[in-house]
Amino acid sequence: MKKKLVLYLLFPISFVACDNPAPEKKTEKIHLEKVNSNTDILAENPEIKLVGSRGFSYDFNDERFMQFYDLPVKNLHISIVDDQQHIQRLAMDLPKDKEAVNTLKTQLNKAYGQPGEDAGNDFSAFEEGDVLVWKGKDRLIAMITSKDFATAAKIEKAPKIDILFVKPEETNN
Amino acid sequence: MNKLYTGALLGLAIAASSCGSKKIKIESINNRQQLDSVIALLPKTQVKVDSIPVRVLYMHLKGDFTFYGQPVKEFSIQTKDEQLQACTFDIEKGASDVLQQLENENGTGFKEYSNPILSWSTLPKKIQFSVQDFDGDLLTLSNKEKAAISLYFNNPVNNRITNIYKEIPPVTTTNDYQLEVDNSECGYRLYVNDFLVIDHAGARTLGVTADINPYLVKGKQQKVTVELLPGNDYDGNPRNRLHLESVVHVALKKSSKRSMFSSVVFDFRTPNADSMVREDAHSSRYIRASKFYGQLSAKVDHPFETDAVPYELPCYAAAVTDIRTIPDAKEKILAHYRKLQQAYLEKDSLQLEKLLYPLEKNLQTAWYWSKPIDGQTRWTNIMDKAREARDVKLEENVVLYTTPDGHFAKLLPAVYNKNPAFYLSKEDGFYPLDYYVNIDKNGDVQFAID
Repeated sequence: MKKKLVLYLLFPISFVACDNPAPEKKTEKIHLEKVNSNTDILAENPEIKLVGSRGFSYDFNDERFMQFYDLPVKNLHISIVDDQQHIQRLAMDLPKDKEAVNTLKTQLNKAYGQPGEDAGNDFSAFEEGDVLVWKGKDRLIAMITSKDFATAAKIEKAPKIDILFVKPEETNN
Repeated sequence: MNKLYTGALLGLAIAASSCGSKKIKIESINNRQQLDSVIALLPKTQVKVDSIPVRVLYMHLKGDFTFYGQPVKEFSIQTKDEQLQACTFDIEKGASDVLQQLENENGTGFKEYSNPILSWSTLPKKIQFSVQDFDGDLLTLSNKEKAAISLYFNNPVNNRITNIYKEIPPVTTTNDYQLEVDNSECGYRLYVNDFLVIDHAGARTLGVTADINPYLVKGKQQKVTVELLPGNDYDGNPRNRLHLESVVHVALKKSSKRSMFSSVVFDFRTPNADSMVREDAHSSRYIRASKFYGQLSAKVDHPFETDAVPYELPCYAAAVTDIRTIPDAKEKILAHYRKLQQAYLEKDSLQLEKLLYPLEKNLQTAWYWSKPIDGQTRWTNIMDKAREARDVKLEENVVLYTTPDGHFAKLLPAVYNKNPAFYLSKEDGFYPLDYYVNIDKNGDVQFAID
């Protein structure tokens, strides 16, 4: 009985004990505009917690730790190429904010020139809406907005960015 | 029991005064005794027992509680078999501060879904934080928002298996190797470093996989061996000799918890040549014609290299006896398997701990399970298996397969069977228990490798 009494005396001490020392937060923000098809996001950011099946596709849902240019983005989806060694596609949701989206367009124009249509039907097949496509050396960047994006008072559906990584020669067509 | 609660009260009062707070911190309740201490402080009117199904108790407690500094007026708690199971409560405001405190203490939360729900897996419990009645996201979260908290308690166990992680040296690599095998018109046995990994009799099966970390040896040099067998045809009828199209295709993939990508270590087929066969007067087709067509069986070795494997499994030091030199080895090994059978059937935790400790030490080393929570997960899995066991079956007609060096052996069904020689059956399937064993210098049998 004495032993038990000592135990009961000790237990509460732990549960009203003063706060533990705080571990340092290690998660860094991922700058998605800097990612290319060879970027191993997990190897470069070991603290992030991806959801998904190793070598096939992943989701990353923590909007606090990713951005595209200066914009916070959400619901990142990463598709991996069949060889399981390259990223094929990055898709993400942009804020429902016209001004922010227009600023992003300006930044993309500066980096990649004026956008065109989805001539290869690389994006329209997956998403409904207006599609603008910027061509980079190794990527096609699509911005997908709802048909009424320019006129609607309130944006219901988040605009998307969908990046398709391609071999350099494929974007010259 | 009154004395116990008196003790608890006294301890609580001392500790509370030492920290300068009288409020009870929910975040510090991690076991049943601590909960009992809390209940002892509350008037009876503030403790409501909902229902008492068999071995399960639901309670609602009202009082002056806090969770990371935010006031909590009441919480619900569930216990089972005298142990804490789950606890839920709401925080009316201060969601942002609570989240920050949770992350300061436990690291960045895991956000599995797009909704603002985060979770942390810690040794004593899993914590789930979700924001209520909120259209925003974690970037716009403020202290105006309210949060719902769920705690799922692990009730950590302190035994040899849960403490194995302390014995595993830290390593920088965490590679996982997985074989993927396709076969055409043959059966096959596949060995890694002479350990039998897959025993497959059926023809034309695609994508049979096996995780092989426990069979790898220290260093880079490894070997896979494919034994081609006549096996069964597609309808399940046995063949006598190797069919013309007896080809096995083996690929090995490497992945890591620290990389998004996987890579192919090797990809090979057993020797064959494309050959055209005439099917009838008007048609013919190309096939992969095996070099071993017509033979009773054939073995093909394929050496390969991995990244340097940093561990030597502890069983190699223990496996000093050549099992083939022991006259009654099969009986001794059978007796050891029967001990495990009994332990699972009786759900005997002490015996399970004793029998499975050597096996678990090798497995936890091979899979780099070096965190305290890994040991708890392994032990929980063992006890869950015991609880789920409908039966534990040891086949009557078995043979002993011994590795060529004589140091390891396992029981196999004497006649090919889709079930292993020893397995635990549960409602929706079975767990193989046909582990490799070794015999130590004292002549004792130990489970070694899964």
